[in-house]
Amino acid sequence: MAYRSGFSAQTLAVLADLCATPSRWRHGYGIARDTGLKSGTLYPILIRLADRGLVEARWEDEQPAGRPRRHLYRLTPDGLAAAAAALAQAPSTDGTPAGDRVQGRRRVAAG
Amino acid sequence: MSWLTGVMAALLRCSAGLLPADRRVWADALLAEAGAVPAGRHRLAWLAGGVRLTVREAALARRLTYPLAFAAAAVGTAWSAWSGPAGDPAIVPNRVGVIALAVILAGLPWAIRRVRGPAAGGRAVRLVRTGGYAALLPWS
Repeated sequence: MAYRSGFSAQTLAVLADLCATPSRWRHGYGIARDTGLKSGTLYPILIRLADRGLVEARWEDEQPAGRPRRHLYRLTPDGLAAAAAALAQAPSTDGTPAGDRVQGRRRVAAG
Repeated sequence: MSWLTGVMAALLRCSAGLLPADRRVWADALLAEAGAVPAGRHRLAWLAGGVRLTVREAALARRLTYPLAFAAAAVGTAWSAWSGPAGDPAIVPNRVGVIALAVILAGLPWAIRRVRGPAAGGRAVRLVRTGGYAALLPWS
């Protein structure tokens, strides 16, 4: 289902998750765990968002011991603006405006 | 289960090769992330999602569409030429002709690509290429 913003419900979930801690670099599994999306759904969304310049991606700087370097993601300034606008328009399932949900998550993350 | 996870990881590594270079990084990212996913069915599902991603992205990049369409056409042509009454002397030349044609059609673009580089993109080029293949099918 696509909302007025043009983003699907799954994309909005990813945007909301990234919006919750906009300055933090996130890894794919963390986003998948938070949003409940499977990898085959999440990564195409990240690819399209990166293509549109809404998400930036980079590899971890240092090679961690015992595991490969992870790919990290966060919203660009354009992505943050687009996410805030899209989430403000999106209908919520619990009666809470989506924008408030994101603000609430930010408060939790900050606290 | 771990052997199946290994097979799926290998499949993801192989299918990542179907992707254009700018998309391959996403398959690598998904593979690198697999180590953080709890072992067992969760990791297996994660990797299976990666294979699905690579196949879909490869199809979108048309890297899968042409080989699959060619394979389907070759199988259909071979099937139509293979059947016939036993003892018919025309069957063997027919079969040889079909195999030779399929090898030429598959090998010629590959050989030309090696010498002249990849074919240009664009709708007209695709139409000419697809039309050429389509024109050869009735002849075969």
